[in-house]
Amino acid sequence: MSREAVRLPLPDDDASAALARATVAALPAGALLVLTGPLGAGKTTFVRHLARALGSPAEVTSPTYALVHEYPTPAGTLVHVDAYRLRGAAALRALGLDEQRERARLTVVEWGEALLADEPEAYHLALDRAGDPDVALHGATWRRSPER
Amino acid sequence: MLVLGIDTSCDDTGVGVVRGRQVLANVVASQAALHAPMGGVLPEAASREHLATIDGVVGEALTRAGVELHDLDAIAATRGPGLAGALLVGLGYAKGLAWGAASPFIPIHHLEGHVAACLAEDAGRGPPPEPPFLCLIASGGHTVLFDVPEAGRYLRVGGSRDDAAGEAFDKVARLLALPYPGGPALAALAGDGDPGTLPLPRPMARQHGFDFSFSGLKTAVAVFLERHPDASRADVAATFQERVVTSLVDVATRAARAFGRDTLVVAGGVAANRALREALAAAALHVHLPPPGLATDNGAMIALAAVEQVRLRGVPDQVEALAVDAAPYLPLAEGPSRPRDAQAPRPHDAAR
Repeated sequence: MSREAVRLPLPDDDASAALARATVAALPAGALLVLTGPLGAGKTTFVRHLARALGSPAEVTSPTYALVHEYPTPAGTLVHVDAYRLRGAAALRALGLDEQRERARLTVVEWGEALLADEPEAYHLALDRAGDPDVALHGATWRRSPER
Repeated sequence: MLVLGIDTSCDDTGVGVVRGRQVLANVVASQAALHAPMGGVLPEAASREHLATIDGVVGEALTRAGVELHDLDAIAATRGPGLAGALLVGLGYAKGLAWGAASPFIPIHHLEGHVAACLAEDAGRGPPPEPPFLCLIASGGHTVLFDVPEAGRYLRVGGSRDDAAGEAFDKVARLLALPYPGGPALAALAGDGDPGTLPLPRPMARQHGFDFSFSGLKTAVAVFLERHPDASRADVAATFQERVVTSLVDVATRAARAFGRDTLVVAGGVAANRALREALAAAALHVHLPPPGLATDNGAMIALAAVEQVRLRGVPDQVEALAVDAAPYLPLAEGPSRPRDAQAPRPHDAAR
């Protein structure tokens, strides 16, 4: 698989939903997906699309204060972690991330940059705000394709 | 009834002692200093800190209240929602204390504690609110609107679809390079700014329901600051704060009208925000705010909720109460609610 980054423009909600469906179809059970990007890039919104793609109508809200939210879906549990208030991979591990991952369909970590160094199997999707910010044009880049 | 309440749902260790609705002591050991250098929380450090602190905070609360452990009629603690490890410390400690002192143990929902904070007796304040009323809880972790048709009954009317109001304050504060925790710093900066000048959006301005959304506003601030690096930070703070406050007050006022309630109880840390207090004072509602010190997370509000629970439902079965587990995710309400009276204006009418 290519390790080159490919940037996908996400001009609207439908494009984000389509990317979420493709992501869910491509990622195996137990996968770890790290979402990066600045404040307001659309990370939490993308997790809502992932939940939809897994068949859950859950109102996905920001887990910044709670740190972890879990959503049951027909395809298995979606674990939504937010490391915004955390520092470092050790803090994430202290949440029981490894254990949660094993039984989850998909574990998504916002602000999870710290995990990338020692999680070679992690998938990394970088979201950004680009283009004309007034129309909230967003984009996503697969930073690294896991070698399996 | 003399009750000791413990809250360790997030970063602060809170212990309070109340007699009925009178707060005798309310001690909060904040971990802000511990976490500030790293600009965030280490969950394990938070749990360890609760564990290291709780003994001293309980002792301090009992001393300030002038009571002994064996004087207590009940011991209460938050069971959820919150950080799992942090909740376990307060809950486990309270159970142990209750067991050892042969005192009834009362597990409490954190949000019910926030509502109960408004029941505290406070010199110079009017009588506490009596249901039915509408209740807005706005804090770092929660922004939710409940209808309370009778004491102890909560119907969810609406809530944030993305970020909590306090969380939005903290994140925009970071965009403005203000120190952690950013909410109070942002409010202070906003005091120096003009809220009427910048083109920031009004969240959910055209909705017919009673929800909130602060994520798009946060994005708009980020984009605005990127495009206008020389903009007045005070004006950005003031405009952002005005948008959040207006959204909270407008939706709550509209919901009160739709549900036929003339009283609004506001709880949670954001209730301490001065701009919000001023906007609420101008609203056509009887507004009840928690006394100073009881708005943010604390133990006294948990004790007050326990007193209320015993008043309504009696002392819970001790064996069942001691078996209650920490619940990091725990809804308070019975579920989505509609205006109950068919004669009441429907939500979309109220929006017009």
